[in-house]
Amino acid sequence: MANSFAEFLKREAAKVRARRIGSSTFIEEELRGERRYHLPTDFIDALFLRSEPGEHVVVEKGVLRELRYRLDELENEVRKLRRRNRALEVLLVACAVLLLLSVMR
Amino acid sequence: MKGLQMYVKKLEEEVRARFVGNDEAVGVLTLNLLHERSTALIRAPRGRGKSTLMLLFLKGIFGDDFVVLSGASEIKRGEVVARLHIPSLEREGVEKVIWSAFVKARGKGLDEVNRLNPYTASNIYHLLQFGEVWAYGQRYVVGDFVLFANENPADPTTFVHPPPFYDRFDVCVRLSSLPLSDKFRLQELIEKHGSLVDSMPQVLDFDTLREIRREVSEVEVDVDLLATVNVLVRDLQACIRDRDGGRIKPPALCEGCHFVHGICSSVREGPSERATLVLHNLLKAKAWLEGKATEDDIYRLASYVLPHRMELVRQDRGPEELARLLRRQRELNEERRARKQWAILESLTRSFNRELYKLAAEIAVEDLIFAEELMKLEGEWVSKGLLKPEETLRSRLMPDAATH
Repeated sequence: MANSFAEFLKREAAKVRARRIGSSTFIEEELRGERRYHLPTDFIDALFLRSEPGEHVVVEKGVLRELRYRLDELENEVRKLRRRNRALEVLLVACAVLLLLSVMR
Repeated sequence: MKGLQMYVKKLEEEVRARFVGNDEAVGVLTLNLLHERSTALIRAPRGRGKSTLMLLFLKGIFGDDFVVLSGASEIKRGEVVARLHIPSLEREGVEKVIWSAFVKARGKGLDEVNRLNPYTASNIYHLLQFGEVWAYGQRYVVGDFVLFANENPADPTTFVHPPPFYDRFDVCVRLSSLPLSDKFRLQELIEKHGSLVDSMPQVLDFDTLREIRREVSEVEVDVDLLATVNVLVRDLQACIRDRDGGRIKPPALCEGCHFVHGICSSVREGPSERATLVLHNLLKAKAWLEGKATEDDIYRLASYVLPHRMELVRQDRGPEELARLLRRQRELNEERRARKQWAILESLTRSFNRELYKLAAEIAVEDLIFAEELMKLEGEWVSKGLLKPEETLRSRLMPDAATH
């Protein structure tokens, strides 16, 4: 290992408070600030974390495939729920008719 | 202030007194003079003062003893490198080489470098690369020099020079147009001096500059600053999918990559190792001239050292894209410090500790250059039987490479 690299690592190590309990080493991390600058590929962040997208958004093919899959799944779910909804509507109308007939008797 | 520093400050002042605006560019060009075989490229659209700035510096150091080649005129090989002495050849049949004034001059200028034809550019490329020129089987060692070049990349008669040619220039400064108040200042200056270049005094000579360069070369830069420089350049170079070895470049290369959100995915061609050497030289110069160099200086100077020697995915955004990456890089370094990852690496280099290794591996999946260093250590641990190959970070991040 280069001497100056080893010196840099030693200096960094000297700045850290580490505790050793038994065979375990505990290192205290500092609090990290919120990221101020984002890279251009933050499409998922823009979508799910509602962060502000850049002027151009680059989407990987894989993400696009994933999104298309999720959209298809959601549409299937909507279709299924719509069918169930219609069945319930029919049931409700039938119940209402039966109720009306029973009252009329 | 010490004697030699005074000369440099005086040179900078005299240039500033004649060149309106672009203060930071003048400061960077001054710092870049303070190391051996300095080369600087000034880029700007027409009429921004590229040639004036180049001539002001050359005149301030060499008086009238410098040579400027103009790419706009048709330059012959004899003007750039050498020609044969015809009488010797005709009478005695001896090939006597007469080296060109440009090769021999300590102060060199290249006006409109974008118009140099590829043949001339390759001669200059060799000079910048090896500090020597060849002609008719003979070699001439150029030695130390100062070279300024300028170009207007938007010029329709531009030759596209290869990226390695531009990599030989230490720094590249862009000149912006003048705000309203500066235009008034420029008019006053021209009325006062007539020709700005002619009015420039010679402030120092080349022997003094060589003495300054010798002193600057002996300055030691703090290891923390060196680490910041090396981490910055490595972050811009690193790619776990070997970007430099293939024809597919980011963003296409990054599809499905674990590090797709890293800085690496914004870089199509990373900088060469010259970037670290130049930044190191500039930090030495800054410390010598002003008594100290800081981390802020690294990021400020990087915006002059990097733009001509790398290509970004969003190159169309211009200098702002590099500025954005540098801001992001600063933030990344703050995160690295907060995670104490270098201290963890230091501990692991001394001895293997499984708990600490697990923590390091977690950090490494967020940080490619940390992962590279950790993977270097893994080989030794695997050979000693401290770690199984399938437990390594390499097998997680590079499953194909790990099986070889």
